[in-house]
Amino acid sequence: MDREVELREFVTARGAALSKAAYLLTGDHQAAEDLVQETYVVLVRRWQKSGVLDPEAYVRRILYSRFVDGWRKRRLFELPWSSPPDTPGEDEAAALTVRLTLQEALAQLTPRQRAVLVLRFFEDQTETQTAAALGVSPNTIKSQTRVALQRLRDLVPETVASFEGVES
Amino acid sequence: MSGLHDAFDELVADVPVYGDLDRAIEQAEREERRRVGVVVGLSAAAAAAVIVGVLSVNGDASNGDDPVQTPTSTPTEVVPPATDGSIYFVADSAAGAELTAPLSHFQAEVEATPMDLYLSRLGQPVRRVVETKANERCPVASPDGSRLAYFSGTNLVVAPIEADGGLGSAELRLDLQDHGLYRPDAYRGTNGYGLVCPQWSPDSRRLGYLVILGDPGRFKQTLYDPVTAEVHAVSLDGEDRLLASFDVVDWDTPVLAWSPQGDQVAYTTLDGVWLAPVDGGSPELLWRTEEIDLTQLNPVDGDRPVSLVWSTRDQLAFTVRGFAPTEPDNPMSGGRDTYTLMVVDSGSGRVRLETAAGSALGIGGAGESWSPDGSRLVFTGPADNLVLYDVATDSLRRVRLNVSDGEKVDAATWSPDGQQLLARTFHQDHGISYVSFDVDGSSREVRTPPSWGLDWVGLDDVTWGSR
Repeated sequence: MDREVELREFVTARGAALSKAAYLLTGDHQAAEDLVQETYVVLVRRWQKSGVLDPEAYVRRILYSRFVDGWRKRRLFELPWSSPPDTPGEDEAAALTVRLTLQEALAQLTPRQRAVLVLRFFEDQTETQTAAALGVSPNTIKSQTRVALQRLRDLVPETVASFEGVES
Repeated sequence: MSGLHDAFDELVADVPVYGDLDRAIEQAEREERRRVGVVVGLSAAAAAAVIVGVLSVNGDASNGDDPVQTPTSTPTEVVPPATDGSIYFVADSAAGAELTAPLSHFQAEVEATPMDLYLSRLGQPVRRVVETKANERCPVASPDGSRLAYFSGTNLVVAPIEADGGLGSAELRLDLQDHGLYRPDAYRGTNGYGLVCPQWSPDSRRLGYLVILGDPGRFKQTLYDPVTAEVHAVSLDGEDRLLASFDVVDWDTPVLAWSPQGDQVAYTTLDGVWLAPVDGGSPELLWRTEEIDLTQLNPVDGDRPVSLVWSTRDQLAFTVRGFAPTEPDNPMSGGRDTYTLMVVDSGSGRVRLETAAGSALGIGGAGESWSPDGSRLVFTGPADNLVLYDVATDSLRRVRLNVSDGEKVDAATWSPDGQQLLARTFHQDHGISYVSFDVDGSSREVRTPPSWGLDWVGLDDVTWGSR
């Protein structure tokens, strides 16, 4: 199959999940869009040149490593939604409260802690897969996960209480 | 923790699909065009530049008549570390604990055993500091003198240097085999062909290293089928960054070097010399070789950089290996390898020095070394003479070392305090030694007893201890 066709199929299949992960990482629509776009440029370059054996793992590695290594410096992680949308309905307001609280807590984690949580608990990656995506050892992932979860518990105890009792 | 998964799902429920693949394709193509444009621009600038000293193949290296050129960048402040003259190097383990066991040239050539790691301190006998069956190679002392990095088989190891010069327990052990090495035998074999030595960042906090990957999806059928190489930077706590990936072929061994600010890593490919930002971003081609057409009969003969060092004045020096056929229009006529030394400003890409093609290259691919303040470069010139390039005066002169009859010097490296050159000397009857000289070539100190245990090693396999 033509390389570009394969690339388009991959992006069509994975674009939504990548976008969501980017948003969880950056907490900002514009920053997430930039991160995804930058990741695509790197992916395209590699794909056109030699193809990619495991595009899923490769694109994850690009996205997360660029976020942790490169984006941290640009101070893109100030609290999003400082001006919430106008007058939501009652149910929407309750949902927004949870959303804002967890989002704010995520924004206070280090980029790597956030990346670990998103990889482990949103993308459901194993410790080994998470380690590969971030270029660190599985032991580092283990300890970072523990620290990140504890930090979340400290920041938003009520929200995290609903997660407790399940493996961490 | 499904609860957290659900909460994340709720957070991203309304997130649209970002990214525009068509735009990414356009951008990738635009960047490629821009790279080519940069290179064209650099070539034009190089052609327009006042030509720098040209080293005659047969004549004396002196070129003092050339106009003085002021360096374009301010040198990075260098605080020379105190030095006790320690050097770490590898040698054939059969040479014994003090490098004095009898070992014939024949044994070293034919029955070479794995390399061990040795230490030479001024006023003390040589002693072995690491002895394993794994084959130690590429010792590199950190610029602050606190640690030594080296290969032990396929493991990249970092260990602290203790007060007596010995090594403490490993602080970092990274098995490059985990990347899926294409050529693990390069790490296990004695001659180390294909081995790319790691390099410390200037702040001593990271190591740059390069791996050539097996890439099982890419089947190698001929010598010219490429595999993938990756440039990485790993911190002492194990955080590993992929900086660049590129194609590499069997007959080329890339090398890398850190910028003096530690924000970029330069590396060589068949295309030329690239600069990769450490904090993300696309690598840029700084200097491009004549393109090698892989469909030609002898692509192996194309020009390519084979060494690379980066000065504290932001200048890159590298040797370009080429080929001069006996009959120019007949690639099957035979010929000889040629070596041209280049000095290029890393910011502007301006070529500061391009020597005439000579026939020599320092052994082990480490043909040149910058002085710590970046003001001078020593390299192996024609007829194995050491040549000194002075940046400020843009002049070349031969270094006349104090050597005995029958003793040859094939390469040298600068001491951390800038006062001495450490050279590898060779004597057909006695063997190989490391000898340090004052930079003017006068004073001489034999640092290791002559031994054939130093066969198969080069200047990549020796490092000043830096303190």
